[in-house]
Amino acid sequence: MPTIDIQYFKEDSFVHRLHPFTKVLFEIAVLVIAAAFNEPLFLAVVILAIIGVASLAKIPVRKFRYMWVLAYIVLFMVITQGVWFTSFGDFGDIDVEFEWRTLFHLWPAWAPGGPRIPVILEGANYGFSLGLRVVAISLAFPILVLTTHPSDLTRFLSQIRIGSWRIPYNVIFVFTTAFRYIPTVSREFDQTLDAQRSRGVNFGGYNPIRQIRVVMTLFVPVLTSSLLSAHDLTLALETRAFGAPTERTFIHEVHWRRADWGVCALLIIIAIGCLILANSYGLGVLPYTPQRNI
Amino acid sequence: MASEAIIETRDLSYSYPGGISALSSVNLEIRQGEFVAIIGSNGSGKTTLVKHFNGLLKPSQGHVMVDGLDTRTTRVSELSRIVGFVFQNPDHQIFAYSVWEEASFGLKLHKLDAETVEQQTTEALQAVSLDELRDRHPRALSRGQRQRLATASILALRTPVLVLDEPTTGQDFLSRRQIMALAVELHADGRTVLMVTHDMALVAEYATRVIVMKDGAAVCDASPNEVFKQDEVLKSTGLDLPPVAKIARGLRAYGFSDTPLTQTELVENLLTAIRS
Ligand SMILES: Nc1ncnc2c1ncn2[C@@H]1O[C@H](COP(=O)(O)OP(=O)(O)OP(=O)(O)O)[C@@H](O)[C@H]1O
Ligand SMILES: [Mg+2]
Repeated sequence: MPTIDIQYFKEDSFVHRLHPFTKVLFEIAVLVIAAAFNEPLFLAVVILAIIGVASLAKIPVRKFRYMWVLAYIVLFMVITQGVWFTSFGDFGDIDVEFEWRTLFHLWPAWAPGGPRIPVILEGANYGFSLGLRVVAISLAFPILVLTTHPSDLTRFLSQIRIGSWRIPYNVIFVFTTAFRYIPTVSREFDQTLDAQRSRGVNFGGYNPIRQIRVVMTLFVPVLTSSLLSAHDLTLALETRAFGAPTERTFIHEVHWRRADWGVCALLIIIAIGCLILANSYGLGVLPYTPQRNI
Repeated sequence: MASEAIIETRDLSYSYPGGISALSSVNLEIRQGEFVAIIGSNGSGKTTLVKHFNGLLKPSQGHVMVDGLDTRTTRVSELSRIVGFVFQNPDHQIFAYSVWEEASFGLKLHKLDAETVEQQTTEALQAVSLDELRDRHPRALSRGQRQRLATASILALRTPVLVLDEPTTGQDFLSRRQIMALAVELHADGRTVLMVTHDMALVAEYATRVIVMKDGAAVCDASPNEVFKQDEVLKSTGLDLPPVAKIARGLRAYGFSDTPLTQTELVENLLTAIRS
C-alpha cells in the first residue's frame, strides 16, 4: 500500500466522465474560494464540499491516508501565527477597543522568568485558517489526478489554442510526465521507508532535530533515484526521436458533454459568489486580517 | 538451543489494501540456527511473508511471533534489533555521504558507544571487503558494491536473524558467490539466515531447509533433498530443479535414484553406482 497513492484509478463515476477542463476549472475554483475566505468555519464548509466531490468520484478513503501530515502543518501554522501574529502591525480598521486575547504562554508562568511568549487566540485562529486552506487545496488537487487518465490530460492540454498559439508539446510533456511519475516516486518512497524502518529508523518521534536527520534518510534516496531515472528517461526519449516535427495524434478522444457546461457554469457562479461575499460583505473574513500593502 | 523457535507464524493471512490476498494460513516455525531458503514464482508471496518477520507488515489474520514478541504490538525499530533485513535494491537505503557513515548509521540509532560502533562497523565492512573504501562516497561505488554496503549496514547490527530478499539477483558470479559465502559464514556463526531466492543451485548447495511458496501458501517445507525429490510440486509452482538434480533425474532411467545437491555429491554417488 503506497503511502502516497495519487494515481489515476479506473472507475465509472460522474467525476471521472467529466472533461479534464472541467476538473482543472474545479481546481482553480477551489484555489480562488480558499483564498477568498479566512474564517475557519467557512473553510470547513469548503473542505466538506470537496469531500463531497471526492465521494461523488468514488475515491476510496485510503487514498487520502497520507493527509495526516497536514495535521502537522495545521499545528505549525497555529503555533507560529499564535506567537508572531501581533507583529504584523497593520490590521486594517479594527475597533479601537479591540484587545488581543492570550490563550497560554509557551514559556509557562511556573518556569523561571515566566510567563513569556504568549500565544494569541486571534493569531492561532488565523493560523488555523491558513492551515485549513492548505488542507482544502491538498484535498482538491488529487481529485483531478485520481480521476483523469494521464493521456486525456495530455490530449486536453495539446488542444488548448489561443489564436494560432498553443502550448509547446515539450511543456505539456514535462507536465504530464510529472503526473506519470507520481506512482513511481511514491513506490520509491515506500520502499525507502521500509528499508530505513528495517534498520531501526523510527519515523514519527518527538525530537525535532532527530526528525530532520530521519527525514534526510528518506529524501536522499528518493531524490537520487528520481534524478537518475529522469536521466534515463531523457536517453529513452532521444532514441525515440522526441521533438521530431510532426503533428501528434492521439488514440483516446475526450468528449465535452452537456454536464460539463453545467458544472463549469456552476463552478464559476460559486467562485464569483464567494468572491463577492468575501470582498464586498466581509463574510468569511476575519475582522483582524493582516493587511498586505505591497 | 537449535530447536528453539525464533520466528513463528500462526495461521498468518495477509491481504494488501484493496483486497489482494497475498498470504493465506501460513504456519511456520523457524528455529534458531537454520538456513532457510524461501522459493516460489514471482508474486507467490515471498516478499510479503518475510516482511512480516520484522513487522514491516502486520498480519491481517493470525500472529507472527519473533523471539517471543508479537509483531502486532512491537515496533519495527525494536524488532530491527532481532531481525536484520537486507533488501534487493540498495539504493533505497543509501543516503549517507561516506561508506562508513552509511554502514554505521543503524548502530548509531541504537545509541551504542563510539567504540562499539567503530568496531562493529569495521568488522561488517571487512566482511563484505569494503573496508578499504570506507571514506568513499556511496554513489561512487558500483552497483554490486552498493549491494554489499547495504548488507554491511545490516551486518553491523549483529542481529541474531538475517533476512535476505533476493540478495543475488543482478549480481555477477563472483559477487553471488561472495554474498553466499558470507551468508554461509554467518550461519556457521550460529545466526539464523532466511533467504528469498530464485537461484536453485544456491538453494541446493547451502540451505538446510526449503520453504516453497505458491499463491500465498507454503506448499512445501522440507530439506532441500526432499523438496527436489518432489518434482510435481516444483513443476506446479513453475520452478526448475538445480542443474545437478536435473542430471540425476535424467539418470533415473538407468537405475540412479539419488537426489544429490552438489556437484561433488553427484560425482561421488555416480562413481559408487558405477563401481557397484
Ligand atoms: N504493495 C502491494 N500492494 C498490493 N498488492 C501487492 C503489493 N505488493 C505485492 N502485492 C501482491 O501480492 C502478491 C505477492 O507479492 P510478493 O511481492 O510477496 O511476491 P514475491 O513472491 O516476493 O514475488 P517476486 O518473486 O516477484 O519478488 C502478488 O500478487 C502481488 O501482486
Ligand atoms: Mg519479492
